[in-house]
Amino acid sequence: MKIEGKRDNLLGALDLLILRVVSAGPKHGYGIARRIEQVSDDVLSVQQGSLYPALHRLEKKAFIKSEWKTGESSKPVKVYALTKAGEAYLEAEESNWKLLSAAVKLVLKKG
Amino acid sequence: MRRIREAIQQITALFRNAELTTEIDTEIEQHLELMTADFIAEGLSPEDARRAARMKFGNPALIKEDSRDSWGTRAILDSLRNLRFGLRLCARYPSSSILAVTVLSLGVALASMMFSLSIKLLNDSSGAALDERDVHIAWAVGPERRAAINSRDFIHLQDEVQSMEYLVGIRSLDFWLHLPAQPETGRQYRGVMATPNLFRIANAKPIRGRVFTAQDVRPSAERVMIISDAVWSDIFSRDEAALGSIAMVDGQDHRIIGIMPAGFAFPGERQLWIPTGWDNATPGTFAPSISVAGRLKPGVSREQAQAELQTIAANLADAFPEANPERRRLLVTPYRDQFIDDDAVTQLILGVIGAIVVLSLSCANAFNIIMARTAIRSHELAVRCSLGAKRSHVITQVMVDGVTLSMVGTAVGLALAAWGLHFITENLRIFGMPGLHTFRLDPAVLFFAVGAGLSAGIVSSIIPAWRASQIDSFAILKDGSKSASSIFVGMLARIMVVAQVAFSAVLIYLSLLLLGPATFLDSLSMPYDPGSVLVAEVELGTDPQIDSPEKIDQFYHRLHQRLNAVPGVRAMALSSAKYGLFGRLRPIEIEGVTADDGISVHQSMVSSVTPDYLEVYGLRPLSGRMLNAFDTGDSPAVCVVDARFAAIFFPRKNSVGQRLRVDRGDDKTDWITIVGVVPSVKPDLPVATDETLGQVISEVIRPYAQAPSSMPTIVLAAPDASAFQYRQAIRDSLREFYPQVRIRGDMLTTEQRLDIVARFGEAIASTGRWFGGSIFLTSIIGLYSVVSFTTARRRQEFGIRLAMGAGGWDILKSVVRPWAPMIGAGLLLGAPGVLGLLALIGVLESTSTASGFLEIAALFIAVTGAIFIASFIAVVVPAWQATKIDPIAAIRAE
Repeated sequence: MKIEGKRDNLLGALDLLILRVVSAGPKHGYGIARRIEQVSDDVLSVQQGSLYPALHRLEKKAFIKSEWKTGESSKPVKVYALTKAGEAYLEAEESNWKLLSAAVKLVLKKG
Repeated sequence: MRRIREAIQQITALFRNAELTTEIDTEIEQHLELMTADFIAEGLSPEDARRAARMKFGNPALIKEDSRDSWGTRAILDSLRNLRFGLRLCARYPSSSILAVTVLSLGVALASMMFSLSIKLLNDSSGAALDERDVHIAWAVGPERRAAINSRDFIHLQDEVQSMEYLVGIRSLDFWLHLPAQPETGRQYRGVMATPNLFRIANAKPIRGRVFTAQDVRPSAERVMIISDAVWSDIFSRDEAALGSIAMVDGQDHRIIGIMPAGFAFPGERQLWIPTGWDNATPGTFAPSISVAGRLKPGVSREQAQAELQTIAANLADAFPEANPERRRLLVTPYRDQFIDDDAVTQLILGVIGAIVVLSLSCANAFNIIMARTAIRSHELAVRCSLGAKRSHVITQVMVDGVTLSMVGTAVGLALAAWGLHFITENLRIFGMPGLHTFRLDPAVLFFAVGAGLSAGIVSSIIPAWRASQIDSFAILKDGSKSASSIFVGMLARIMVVAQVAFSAVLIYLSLLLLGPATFLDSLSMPYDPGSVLVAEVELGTDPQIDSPEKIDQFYHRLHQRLNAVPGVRAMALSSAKYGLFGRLRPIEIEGVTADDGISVHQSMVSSVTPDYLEVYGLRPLSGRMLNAFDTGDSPAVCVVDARFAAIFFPRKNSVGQRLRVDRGDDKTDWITIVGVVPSVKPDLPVATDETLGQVISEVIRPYAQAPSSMPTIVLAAPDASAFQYRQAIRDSLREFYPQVRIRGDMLTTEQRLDIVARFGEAIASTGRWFGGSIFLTSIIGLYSVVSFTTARRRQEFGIRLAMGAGGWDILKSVVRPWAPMIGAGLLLGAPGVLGLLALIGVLESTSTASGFLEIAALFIAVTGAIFIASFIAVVVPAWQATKIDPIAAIRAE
């Protein structure tokens, strides 16, 4: 199986996770970090701070947009939501990721 | 699309940078608070919860910075911050800033101007997109010379040639254009008469109307013309009714059928185009010479075309031997090469080299200034280093200083260059050729100037920056200025001073050479009143009536009779000499003087004139007789020579009765008997002392009837020859008898012509003065700043020495002593530089006499003397300031 141009996929995994989480609905940074930990059974528990550069990078690319909202507490919180461009990107990246993981699985199985 | 979206987001972030920073801070604080609250809820104490949250989150400061960096605005913001810092530094050290900006701006201005002029010289090209298939055809005359093809041969070529799609026959002419019945609107324009396919080879389309067609050159066709955008603007004020209207060209009505777009002036700077088939031109030797271009058929190489033309050339030379003597080979060369000659390329290279030298001089000076102010800032840089500034930060800071200075210098330099180019353009406008000498800061020059300015800034600050990054901050903070001086690259600064003095000597010498033409022209005086001679050059070949020597004779007699009847006209004559002054330089053989070895060559300016020639200038023969009406084509060949010719070739005997031959080497050529010696109408040129040059300007004058020319100059004597009535009289007489004879160039008196040349000389001299002055100023400022800095850093030493009883003279000596050898070495190095320059521009080659070499040496001594005195002042001023130091204050300050 030939895989081309997917070398950044592992590095871009955090971007993919963030986009997947916000695709379920707008969330603030802490909420996104918690959700990634929960759904991965704490397997993907990394330093939560590393989330923010990725969030801003995705916002610069206009894959997500941010908004200050007043939530349960009285303080306004910055929440992130997926944009149309982000949806398209997520879809493309998900299929790439599936392709990559299938390839890795194949190598591990047969190698 | 994605990139555009990203760019928009980035620009937005740039404008809300402060807001973004606060938002990042706030959301990270909130994140930590939420995490801490969760840990408390899990049962940790508030303090442990906060610690755990910190551990799990990572370094907030680093994360905040990384988040901000994600927007990619950091580089832009850093650059802006650096620029602000650079400007603040400029304001903090105003004197060195002004000095640095002055030297850099002068350097950028001079280099940009030199580059602009060089580019203009090279780009004074065709004005059309010519390609490989467009070729030029000319006769090969000897190994070097090319000769134009006459119109009759052109017709023959057009019929015979198979390798070309088509041929274009072009002749450049000056036209007098005015509106019908409004002669006062008249102006002279450079134009061309050409075959209709001129616009095909130029691949040009008009903005109004149409280009020429084959119908336009039929004998019965209406006279038409196409005008340039500039003519449309000048004469018709861009009136749409101009198209289709009638305008007078040299007294003949022409209908305007097209207007070309602005910037189109093919070939070269032309403003009017008139169609011709060249088929009604005079046959025989009087057929006008035209420039022939052609377009090769697809798949035909230049070599194939050359081979075909070889055969046609031989046929032409056989069929019309009288019109094509010694012309047996037609040369096919790329048409583009006609517009870019080797001289222009050499001038461009020299110009660019000159620009680089000037810029290098500025760099050397800026380097010294930046070095000095970096050394002054060493305390501040040491504090920065001890506070944790990295080496790269220090390098950036010093480089930012240099680049900021160079940016300000470039801006000022560009303004100066724009003014300088305007000055040159205005001075050259007097030649009355619109568009020919318009120099401006085009994008290429702007690009060059900005590139040159930035490079100057980087080059002059890179070494100071590197030195500053190596400072021992501990030593500087402990010892103060003593260690600060270690930043200063003493040896390199000295080398720079030597280089700058040497460069200045060469460049100032060059600028003084530019004063030469004006000085030479000022020294000229004419042996008659130049205001009383009106000169008009005409071309007879365009009129089919004039097709033999007899018809030229008739032309002269008709004009002579008509013009002599005009009140005020004292005399009138024809001369084949350019402006009535300069004959054609031809090899001559003098009986009994020129050795009969076939190698010895004598030469002289040969021209032919009609009998009244000397009367026009109010002169009389010195011995023998002047040519007269009896010297006809049938009578024995005679000539008169000027006094210089007689003195060179017959120093001890009477020239009258001696014989000579023009174009020696052919025994069939008739001997010409000298019948008189006449005074020269040329100024008594100082170069006449040299025999070779004397020969070049000596004169042999033949009767017009024996050596007729189809391009004579009418010379007319009247008390105030510049008055309009005389020019009008010449125009009217031509129109009356020979409407198709063309006047070439402006009709001017010899005085007016000399005035134009003098103004041109003055324009060159002004350029030289400005150029030399700027180099001089740059050099002195550079020297002053470096000496001033080194003197300032020795304040304490001088204070102690003064306190110990040293006198002002001792201090003065100790300041001047290190620099004197540098200045001397620079001036010595300047000598070979000047010799190289003179060799490059060909002055050495043309200097053969001892007095010529003495003049060169004297000028060099004057230049070195001036630089020496100015350098001495630049060194002594800071030295004198050092003697005024208050010892107590100097020691206490340290």
